[in-house]
Amino acid sequence: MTTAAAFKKPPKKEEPKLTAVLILDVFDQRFAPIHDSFPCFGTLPICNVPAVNFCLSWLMRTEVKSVMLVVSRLNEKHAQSVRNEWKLAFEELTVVAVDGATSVGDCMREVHNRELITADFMLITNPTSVVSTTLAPQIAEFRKRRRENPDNVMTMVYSNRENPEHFVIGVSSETSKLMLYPAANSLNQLKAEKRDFYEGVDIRRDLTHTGIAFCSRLIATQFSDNFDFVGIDDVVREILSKDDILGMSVHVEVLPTKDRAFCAFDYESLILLNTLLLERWFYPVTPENSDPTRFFSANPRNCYLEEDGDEISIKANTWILNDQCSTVSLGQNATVSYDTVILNSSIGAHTDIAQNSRIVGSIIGANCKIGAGCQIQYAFIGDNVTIPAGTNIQKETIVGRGVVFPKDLPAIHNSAVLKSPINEEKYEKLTSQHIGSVHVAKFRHGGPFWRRAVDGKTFFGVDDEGCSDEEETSDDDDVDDTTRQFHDEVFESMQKTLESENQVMRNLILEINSSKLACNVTMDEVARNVFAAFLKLPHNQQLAPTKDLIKKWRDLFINYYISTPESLRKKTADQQRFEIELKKKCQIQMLLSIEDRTEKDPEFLTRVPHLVHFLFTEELAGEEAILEWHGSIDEEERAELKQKMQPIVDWLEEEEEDEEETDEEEE
Amino acid sequence: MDPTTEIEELKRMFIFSLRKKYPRDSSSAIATATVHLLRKILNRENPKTMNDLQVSLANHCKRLHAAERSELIIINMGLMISKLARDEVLQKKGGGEPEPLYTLWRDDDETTEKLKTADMKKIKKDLQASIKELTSEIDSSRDCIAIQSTELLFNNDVVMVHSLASSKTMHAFLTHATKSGRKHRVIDIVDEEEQLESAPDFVSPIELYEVASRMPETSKVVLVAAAYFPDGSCLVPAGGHQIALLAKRHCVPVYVLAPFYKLCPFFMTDPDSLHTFRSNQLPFDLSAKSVGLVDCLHPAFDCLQSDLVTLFVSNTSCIIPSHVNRLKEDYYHAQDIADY
Repeated sequence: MTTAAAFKKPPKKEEPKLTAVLILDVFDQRFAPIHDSFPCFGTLPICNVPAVNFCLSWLMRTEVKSVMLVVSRLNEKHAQSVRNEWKLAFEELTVVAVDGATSVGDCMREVHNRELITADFMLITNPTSVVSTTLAPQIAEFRKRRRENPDNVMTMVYSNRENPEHFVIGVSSETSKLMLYPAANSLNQLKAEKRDFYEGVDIRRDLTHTGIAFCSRLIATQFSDNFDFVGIDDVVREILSKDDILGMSVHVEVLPTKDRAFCAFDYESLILLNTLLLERWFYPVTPENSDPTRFFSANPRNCYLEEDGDEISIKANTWILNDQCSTVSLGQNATVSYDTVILNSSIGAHTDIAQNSRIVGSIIGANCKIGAGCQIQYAFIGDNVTIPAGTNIQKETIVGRGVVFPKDLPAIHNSAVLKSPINEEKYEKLTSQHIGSVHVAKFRHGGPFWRRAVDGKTFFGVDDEGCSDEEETSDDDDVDDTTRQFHDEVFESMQKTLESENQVMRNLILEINSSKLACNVTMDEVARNVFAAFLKLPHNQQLAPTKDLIKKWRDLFINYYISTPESLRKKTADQQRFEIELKKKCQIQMLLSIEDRTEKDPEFLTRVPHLVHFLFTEELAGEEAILEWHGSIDEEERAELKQKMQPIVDWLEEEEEDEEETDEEEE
Repeated sequence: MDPTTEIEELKRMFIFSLRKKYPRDSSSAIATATVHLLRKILNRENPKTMNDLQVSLANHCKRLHAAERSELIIINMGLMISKLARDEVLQKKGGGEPEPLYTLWRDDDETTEKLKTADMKKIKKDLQASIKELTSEIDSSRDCIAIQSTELLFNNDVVMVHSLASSKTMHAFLTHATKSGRKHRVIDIVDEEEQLESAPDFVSPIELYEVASRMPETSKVVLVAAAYFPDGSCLVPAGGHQIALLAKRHCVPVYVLAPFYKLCPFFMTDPDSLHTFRSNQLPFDLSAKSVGLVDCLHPAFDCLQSDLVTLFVSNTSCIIPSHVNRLKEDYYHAQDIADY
C-alpha cells in the first residue's frame, strides 16, 4: 500500500508565488563620494540605464508577481519614480520606506515588523543583481527542499564564474547544503577541518554571489530577533554556527554555465557589470530593452546610443564611432571627437569629449567636459565634472559631482576627489583633506574605495595601534588573525563595560556574541579568549579586585562556563549530557587561558593557585576540569606552575576520596 | 482617467508584455496584439480627420518600434490600418480608385482635399469592421500558408528547413504536407544541441555545419522570413544566408514563408540598422578572463538578397521576389509610406 501511495503524484497544490523583496539602497560608506550624484544606489546608471531597471526586467520574466521595493526614507522619491515606471509590469509593486535605515538588516526588520512577509520570498539584497534566466528550476528546487524539510530555510543563488575577490565557500557535494562560510573580515579564507573533507565538502572558489536568495519567513524573523545583524551574511553565519541548536540549513544553488548572473558591490564590480551588460552576457536583459521610458539603439561592436524618442527613423544610422571604440554606451547628445578611443565604458548624456583622449573601463556621468588628450582608465566620474586638457587621471580614482579636476593634483592612492569636504559625522569611516581647489577623501583605515577589502589583515589593526603593547606583537604565529581580533574586541567591550556606571552583563554578553559571529570563532576559542581578555584588564592586576570583579560579573561567567539547572531543564537527556560536556571543555579553556597568562606575566604565577581556588569555590571551575587541566600541564616547561598547583590538586583529590569514603560509609 | 495617460499606459503594457516573453511570442500573436492596441488607441483618441489619424498612428508606431527595434511588425500594422482608413474615406466620398501603375505618385489634389475634410466619425464603424477583418486575416494566414504546402512539396522530395522549433508557421506547413499524404523527407537544421532531441518525429535534425554535405541530396529548401522588403530581399534567422548560398550553388529552390504582416514597406536591406543582436555565446565562466577583450558577435538575422530567393509563400499565393513590390500596394498606401 505504501509503495502504491509513493508512486502517486502528491495532490497538486497551487504553490503561492514568491514575493520579491528588493532592497534599493546599499549601505556602504564606500559609495559616499558619489552620493551627491546618485543618492540612491538603485538608480545609479549602468550603461546609462538605472541599475534597478535591469533587475526589474528579469524579475518580470520570473514567476514573481508582486515586488516590494525597500528603501530608506531619504530616497523614497526615487523609489516612487521607479514604481511609477514599472507598476504595470507586476501585479503589485509597493514601496516600503524605512526611517533611518543603515543596513539591510534594518530594512528587513522594518519589513518584518510591518508583517509584510506572509510566506516564502525572494530576497534581493542588491539592486544591481542581473540574471539571464527566469530561475524557474532553482525556485522549483527550493520548493522541493522546503517540502522535504521545513528547516531548509534558505537557498542562495550563485553563478558559475570565478569571482574577482576569490570569495570562497564550502558546499556539500551531495545535498548542495552550505557547510562552510567565510568570516566577515576574510572572505577569501575558510576554516576547514579534516572532518569536512571526509564528509564530501566541496571548497568552491569558482562561484560569484548574485545577491539573490530564496528565503522562508524565518529568515526575516532572524533579522528581527538579532538587532545587530547587518546583512544576509550574518544570518548565514548564525545558522551555520548554531547548526546543532537551530537545526536549520542553508543551501546553495549554482547556475549552469549557460545561465549568467552577477551583482556589483564596489566600484570595480560596477565597471565589470557595465562591461558584461554591454557585451550582452545577460541577454535577454540588455541595455536597449531594459528601460521602459528611454530608447537605445544597439550597434555592432557593442556600441549603444540613447536616442530621443521623437526623432527616431528606422533608416537613420547616423552614428559612427571610429574603429577603435568598442563596448561603449553613449547617453543622449553626448559628443565624442573622431579620434578618441573609448573601450568598455559608459558616457553620460550631454557629455563632451575632445579629441585624442583615451577612456578605458570607466563610467562617466552626465554633462561632463573632458578636454583634449586626457587619459582616463578605470575611473568613476560623477556628473558635471570638468577635466582640463592633457590630464592623466590615476587609475581607480573616484571623482565626485561638480569637480573641476586640478591638473597638478598630486597622485594619491585609494582616494576620491570631491568638491566639498565629506561629512565626517555621517560617514565616520571616512576623512577628507583640502588640497588646492578640491577635497580628497580617504578611508580612515587606509583601504581603497575601489574594491572591497577581503582579507582581514588590511582592515584591522589600524584602529588600536595606540593601545597595542608588546604582547600583541609577540603573539605566536599560530594564533590566527580572527582569534586575535575576537580577543581584542572582547577586551574593548569589557573595558567599556568596566567604565560604564551600571555594568549590565546582558549587554556585554550580547556584544561578545556579536563579536563571535563577526569573527566566526568556535565556542572553545570564545571560552578561552573571554577569560584571557578578562585577565588582561588593567583592573585585574591584583588578586583582590579580580575576585571582586568575578563576583560582580558572575552572570557573564555563568553564561559561558556553567550549565545552570534552568537551562538544563528545557533539554532532553542527550542534549543535557552534551551541554555538560561542552561546559567542562569551556572551563578547561578558561584554565588554559590562565596558563597562557603565566607565560607572559611571571608575576601572575604567584596568584594562580589563589585564583583557581577562588574559581572552584565560586563554582565557576569544576573539580574534573581542574584535575584534567593539571594533568595536561607540561612538566618540563611549566614545572613551576605545576608545582604551585600541586597542593590544590592534592587537596581536591583528598576531598574526593573523602567524599567517596563518606559515601561508602553511608552505604 | 484622461485619455493620454491611458494611452501611455496601454503602450507601456504592450511593451512590457513583449519583453516578458522570452523566447519571443509568435509573429502572428504580436501582429494581433499590435492591431488590438492600435484599435484601442484610436478609440480613445478619436481623430477628427484622416490627416490626424495618419500622424497619430505614425507617431505611436515610431515610439513603440523605438522601444523594440526588432519588431518591424509594429510599423507594418500601423501603416496597414492607416491605409484601411483611407480606403473607407474614399469609398464614402467616392474618389477615383488610384490607377495601379501610378501609385508611386502622390494622390491628386482633389483626393487630398477630400481626405482632409472627411468626417472620421462617419467611417468609424466601417473602420472598426475592417480592422476586425485585418485581425481575422492575420489569424488565418498560418492556415493559408500551410495549405499551399501541397502545391510546393511533392513525393520523394527532400526538404531542408531551418528554425522549425521557433516557427509555428513552418511547423503547420510541414505537418499539412505530411497529413495530405505527401511522402517526403525533412531535414531540420537546429541551432542548439538540445534541439537535436526535441525535434518532431517527421524530421531528421542536423546541425548547421552539416548543411554543405547534405545539400546535394536536398531538393527543396524552406526558410521563414522575419521580414521581407519591396525589393524582394528578406531577413531570415541567422544561418539562413549560408543555407541559401549553398542552395544556389546546387540549384535547389529556396522557398521563404512570408505572411503578409511581415511585409515591410521600406527598402531596408542593412540588417545592422535593425539593431538586433543576441546574447554573447561564450560560457559564463570564461567571462572572468575574456571580459572587455573579446568581441563576440551574434546577430539575430541574415539578409537574403532577392536573387537567393525562388518564391515567397504568402498567405494569398506564391510570388516571385520581383512581385513583392506589387504586393505592397495591396496593403499600404504610398502616401503613408512617404510621410512616415
